[in-house]
Formats: sequence, C-alpha cells, structure tokens
Amino acid sequence: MNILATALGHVDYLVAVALFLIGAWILVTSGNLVKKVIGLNVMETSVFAFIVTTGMIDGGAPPLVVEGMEGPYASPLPHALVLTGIVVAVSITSLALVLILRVKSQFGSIELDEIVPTDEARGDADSDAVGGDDD
Amino acid sequence: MNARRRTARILAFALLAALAGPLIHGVLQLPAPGSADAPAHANVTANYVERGAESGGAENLVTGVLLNFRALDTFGEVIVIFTAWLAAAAVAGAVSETGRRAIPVSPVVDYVIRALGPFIAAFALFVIVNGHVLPGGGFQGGVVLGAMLILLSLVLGPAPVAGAFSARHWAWLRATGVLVFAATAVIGLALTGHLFGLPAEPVLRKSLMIVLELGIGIGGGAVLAGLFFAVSGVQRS
Amino acid sequence: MIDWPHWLPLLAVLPLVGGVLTPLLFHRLPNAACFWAASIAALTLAVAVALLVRLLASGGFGYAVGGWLPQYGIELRFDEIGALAVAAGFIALLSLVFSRHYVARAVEPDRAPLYYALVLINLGGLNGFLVTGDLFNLFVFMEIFSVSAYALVAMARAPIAALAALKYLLLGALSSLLVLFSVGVVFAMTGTLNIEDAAVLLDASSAMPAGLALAGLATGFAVKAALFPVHFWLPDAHAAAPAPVSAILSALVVKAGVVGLLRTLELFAGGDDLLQPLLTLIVWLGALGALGGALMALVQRDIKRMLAYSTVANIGYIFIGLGLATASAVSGAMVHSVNHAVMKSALFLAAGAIIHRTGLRNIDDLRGLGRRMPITAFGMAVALIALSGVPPAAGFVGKWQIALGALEAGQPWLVAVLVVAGIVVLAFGVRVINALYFRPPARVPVASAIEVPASMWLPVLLLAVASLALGLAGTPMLAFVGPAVQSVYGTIP
Repeated sequence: MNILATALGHVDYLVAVALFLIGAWILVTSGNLVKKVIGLNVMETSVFAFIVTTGMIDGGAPPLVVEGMEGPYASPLPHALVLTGIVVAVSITSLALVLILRVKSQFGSIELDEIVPTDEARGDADSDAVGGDDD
Repeated sequence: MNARRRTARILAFALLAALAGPLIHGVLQLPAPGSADAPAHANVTANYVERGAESGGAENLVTGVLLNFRALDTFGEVIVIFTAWLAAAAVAGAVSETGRRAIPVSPVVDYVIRALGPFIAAFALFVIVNGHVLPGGGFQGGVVLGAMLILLSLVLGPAPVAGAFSARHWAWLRATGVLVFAATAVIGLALTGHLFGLPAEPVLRKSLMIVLELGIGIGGGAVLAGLFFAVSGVQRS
Repeated sequence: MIDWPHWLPLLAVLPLVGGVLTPLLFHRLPNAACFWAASIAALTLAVAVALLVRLLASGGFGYAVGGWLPQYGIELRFDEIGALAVAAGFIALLSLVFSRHYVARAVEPDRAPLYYALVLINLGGLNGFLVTGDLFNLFVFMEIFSVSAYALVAMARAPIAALAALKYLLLGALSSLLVLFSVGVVFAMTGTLNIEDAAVLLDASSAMPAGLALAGLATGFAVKAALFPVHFWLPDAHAAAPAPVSAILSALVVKAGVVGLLRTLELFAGGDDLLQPLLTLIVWLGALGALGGALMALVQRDIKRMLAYSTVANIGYIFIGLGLATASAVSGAMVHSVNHAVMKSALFLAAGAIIHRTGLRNIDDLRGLGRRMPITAFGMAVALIALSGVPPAAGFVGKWQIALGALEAGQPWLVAVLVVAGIVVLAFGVRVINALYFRPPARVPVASAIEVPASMWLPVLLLAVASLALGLAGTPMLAFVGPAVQSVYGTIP
C-alpha cells in the first residue's frame, strides 16, 4: 500500500524511466540507423522530462514574476538546463542525419545488416595522392 | 528475423530489464516531484525566485538564469549549435538532384505558406524581444525563424532561399549569436569587472539582454536553415 | 599580467571564439586558416602556462563567471587536474602545425577552414571541461568537444569514416545522456549544480538515488574514456580519423573521460560505501582493458588501428591506478595520463607523416622506411620505446607508480598484469622498429619516399623528445599532482 502511494507520487518520474527504457530498446535493437537516431531522441526526451519535473511544484506558477502570477513558482533552473539540453540534442541529431546520408551514399543502405565494410573502405583515402612535393 | 538478431534482442531485453530495477528503485527514493519542500526548491532556486527578477534583470526568471546567472552555459549552447552547422557543412556529401528541387505542392499550400511567411517572421521577432517578460526568448524565436525558412525552402526549393545571401554572409549570420555573446561578455568585463557580467543599471542591462536575444535568435534561425541547406546539398561551406 | 584573473575563462572562450571566426575570416583560404588556428592555439597555450605559473606560485584558484556567488552562477576552478590544459594546448598546437600539409591532401580545400575551426572548438571545449566547477557546465563543454570530435572523425575521406563517426556519435550521445540524467538526479537531491556544494549536500543524502547518479556518471565517463568493455567505438573512430585528429582524440579527448571520472569521485568523496564497489570494478575492467588492448594491438596489421588499441590498453592502466586508490597509484595514473598523451600524439603524427608520404598503413609495408624518412622514423621509434615503459622514458613513471600502488594495496596479481601488458607493448614496438630499420624495402612508395616537410617532422620530433624528457621529470610531476590526489580521494594512505 505504501509502495503504491510512493509510486503514485512519483508517477512523473516513472513515466520518464519508461520512456528512457523504450528509447534504449529502439536504439539497441533496431538495425536501421534512422531508427537508432529516433531511439536516441526518445531517450533524450525522457531525460528532459525528468529534469523539468524536478523543478515542478504542485499548484505552482511558471517562473514569471509579473502581475497576475502568484507564487509558489516552479524552479527556473531546470527549464534553463533543458533548453540548453534541447539545443544540444538538435545539434547531435542533425549531425547524425548528415552522417547517415553519407553512409547511405557510400554503402547504399542504412540497414546495419546490409552494410559490409570492406578492407578497401577501411583504407585511408589519403593514398589517392601519393608522393609529390608539398611546398 | 535471423537467429543472430533474435539472440541480440533477447540479450538487449535482459539488459534493459536488469537496468529497469535500479532505475525505478532509485527514482522512487527521490523527493516526490511537485513537493514544495524538496531540495530542488530550497538552495539556489529559492534565491532565484526571491531576488532573481531584480538581480537577474528579467521578470521571466528562466531568461535571467540563461542570460545572466548561467551565461557561460548559454554561451556554450550557442557554440554547440554553431558547431552543428560547421559539422554538417564539413561532412555533408554531394546529394542527388532530387534534394535540390522544390517539392511540388498544391497551389493552395504554396499560397498559404507564402502569405504566412511575414507573419511567422513577425511572431519570431515578438517571441525574441519579449523573452525577458514572457515565455520565449532567443532560442525559441530562432526556431520559429528557422522553421519559416525551412518551410519556404520546401515550397520554393532550397536554392532561392539559400540564395538570399551569399555563402559568406550566411556564415556571418550564423555566427551572430556567438559574436554578440562574446562582445557582451567583453562589455560586461568593462562595466562590471567580470567576464559575462551584465551591468546593474536596469535600462542598459535590459537593452543588452535584448541585443543578446536578437543575436541568439538570428544565429539560431540561420543555423537551422543552414542545417537544412547542408542536408539538401545546396550549400556546403 | 600573469595574475590577471580573467585568464581562466579565456582559456575556453579564446579558442571557441577563434574557432567560430575561422570559417568567417578565412573562407577558402586554407593556409591562412591554418596559420590563424595555430596562432590562437599558441595564445591558448600561453594562457594555460600563465595559469600554471600562478597555480605553482599560490595553489588552486577560482573564477566567478559574471561575478555571481559560486552556487548561483558558474564557478571555474583551476587545479592540478585542470593543468592538463597545458598539455592540451601544446598537443593541439603541434597537431595544427602538422595539419597544414596533411589536411591539404586529406580534406577538400574548400572545407579545410572548417577543419581548423572544429579543432579549435574542440580545444575550447576540452579546456572548459577541465576547469569548470559546475556539473551542468561540465555537460555543456563535454558536448562542445564531443560534437566537434564526431565531425572531425567524419572529415576523413575514407568511406568507412562516416560509419565510424556515426558509431562514435551514437555511443557518445548515449554516454552524454547518462551524464545529463545523473546531473538531474544530483539536482533533485541537492538543489545545486556546483560540484563542491553538491559534494557537501550529497554526503548526508539517502544511498540509492546517489548510487544511481554515481553509476550514471561513471558509466558515461567510462564510455568517453573508452574503458573496456565500452571501448569498442574507439578503434574504428581513431583509425579512420585524419591523423592529427587521431592524435588529439587519443591524447586528449579520451582523457576528458578520465577527468570526468575524477570529478565524479570528487563529488562523491563522502560516500565511501558507494565508492568502494565502483573502485574495485574499475580495477578489474582496467586490468582486462590493459591486457586485451595490448593483445589486440599486437595482432593488428594497420598501424593506426594498432595505435588505437594501444590507447585502450593505456586507458586500462590509468583506470587500474584510479581504482586502486592509493596515493602512489593515483598520482601515477594522473602522470601517465599526461605522458601517454604526449607519446601517443607523437606516434599518431608520425604514422600520419608516413601515410601522407607513402600512402601505406600496413606495418609490413613500412619495411626499410627508416632510411628514407629518418626523422619521422626516429620519432616513432623513440615514442614506441617510451610507450613500452623502458626506464627512464615517460611510459615508465606511471606504470612503476601504479605497480607500487598495487603492492601497497595488497594486489600483487596486478603487477603481473602490468608486466605482461608491458611485454606485449614492447613486442609490438619492436615489430614496428624492426620493420622500419632492419628490413629491406618491399614496396615501391617506400623506395621513392623522401622525408616530409619540416612542418610535419618538427611536431613529431618535439613530441618524441618530450616523451623522453617527461620521463626525467617524473618526480616533480608526481609531487605536483599530490594535492589533486588529496582533493579527489580525501586523506588516503
């Protein structure tokens, strides 16, 4: 009974944990690179939800100290952190998508099962211009 | 699904199930979310709520935290998003012709998006300059601005939108956030004796904050559009 | 001037702004961009040295960004761990100098300014990470150097590079996420983000959520440091990247994971019963990584993959030292972090010079190169010998201290691990040196190869000389990190 009450009180955190695990499942089991990135995004969202929740206050107002907004105010700090986190997540996602486009054009697929790195692919393409002077 | 894949799935399930226990157990012992006496509301937060509006210089406490108390984080954030564009431009390969063409849309959609463009831009500006009193600010407005540019690129094709400025001018626009922030940091050093400090004088502080928000917004919007251009192959560096 | 307090934030801000300006000012001017980037890196190095001088004169010091009290704003701190910024500046500067000719060939000319920008931003992120005293700021700087590192790996032309970078990105983003989640847990428990502040408040808190935060932070930083068994992203990424980038990644970026772990230990300094299992685990994983990495290095044919696996082995040594938690082992691990950075960057740059000139990266193909490229081969040979831990070179000091620590901690089996791994490292060193000097050339590019230009051999030579010199500076370096050992582990035997 006690556990149930605790769980109910922490239901916001539990939802974040569930989302985290779902995202991790997609990231780990999917062989499709785009789906992996989606899984990563689900995980990121779960962490953002978790952090925003830590600053929540029951019956509280958004942290705007203006006419008509009465305290208690939610903590502004987690909001600022999550805003930063979102910008970072956008950056990572965009770079991942650009990389996936390049993988697609080089290996013809974005399914990990179908991508077979050959020895040739491993070779350093610096070797396409060998020797010669530099100065 | 082949056998190897199935084994991998079973392993992953076992791993995540093992992870779920400690995670749930751990978060259940955290202070309950929403309770006013949680530590999250005590130390730093209490100070922000009590004095943040005056000392931070913004009625929207989140903006005060972003631009004033934790300015170095926000500076880092502006760097990260600029780096995202650098990275995309450095890595993006040649893209097939299809990426560069406008997607055929119905005349209705085309007309509506063209007509909405200026309003979206005005809304972005509103969100940016009111960031210190209302929810919003540089990043939020920048995203709206970027969304408008991407929407126009979808309808008109990326080339005409990207062609609005030369590649060099786009690069300067994308760096606006970083450069304005760096300039403000130095102004802060001159006025307050601390790098990233903002002066206590309210009018000056507020104007600096609005300039910062504008820089972040313009830079953010240009970077988002740049990411789209990099992926569609119209603009690489 | 050296006492000017604002040097500390500039350590990060200078290379970051310099990096952002690079593509703006030097659009399509790769040589000017290189010169600019090297100048900024040199200035950053000068700032780091000034900070070090002040640290030596008057101990650790802090800087309140924006003038706010530490808890309310962000506090930067310069301590013995942050002094790694000197090594970072030095290695980044030499890698940038090396890059001028290397990148002209390895990267399209249009994109070269972007390359230099990313290297500078990477340096700024690293420096910020080293000196911040705030948990969330740690995350922000970590993302700056991570995003730039993913992109730098992908800038190589080899088709595998994008895939290697993507693998690195997915693992890296996952580890960053674990760190961010843990920062959230710490905030929920303490209401503060300042590391010192949180360390005091965490002390009295309940065990379980703190354990969660500790596990998240430790796992996240272990991935960044490529500790066995979460090292598997490293060989591909470090082997595929352009050689100067490999040098920076192997020398500095993985060390950020080590520093992150040190900051984590600082945060949990009070919770002995939480830390003990973690430290034991780290010793075991470190031992497995040291042995496994060394053996994997031995069987590689590709010289850069060999060096990458050797990094896994050396990270193993460092974690053994950190996990043993005796004064000599920890100080040895800290000194080895710096020494390994110098030796490994010498090796990656030398390998890059060879690949640049001959296009060959298979160790057997390098036969007879010692006569054709004498300076590069000499630098590589010296660094390999130093790495294997022959006294009095740089590799010796750290390993000796860690072995001493193992004996002090009553775990003599670790000495056996260190000795075996050391012999394996010596074996692959001998294999490369044998190929370079004592075998006749077998490949045409070797027979016609000439020494690389001075901008490439000079960094190799300087780093090789430094790997010898640092070995002689072992005692003062161990004394220097002493206070950091104290502040991280408290009063340990």
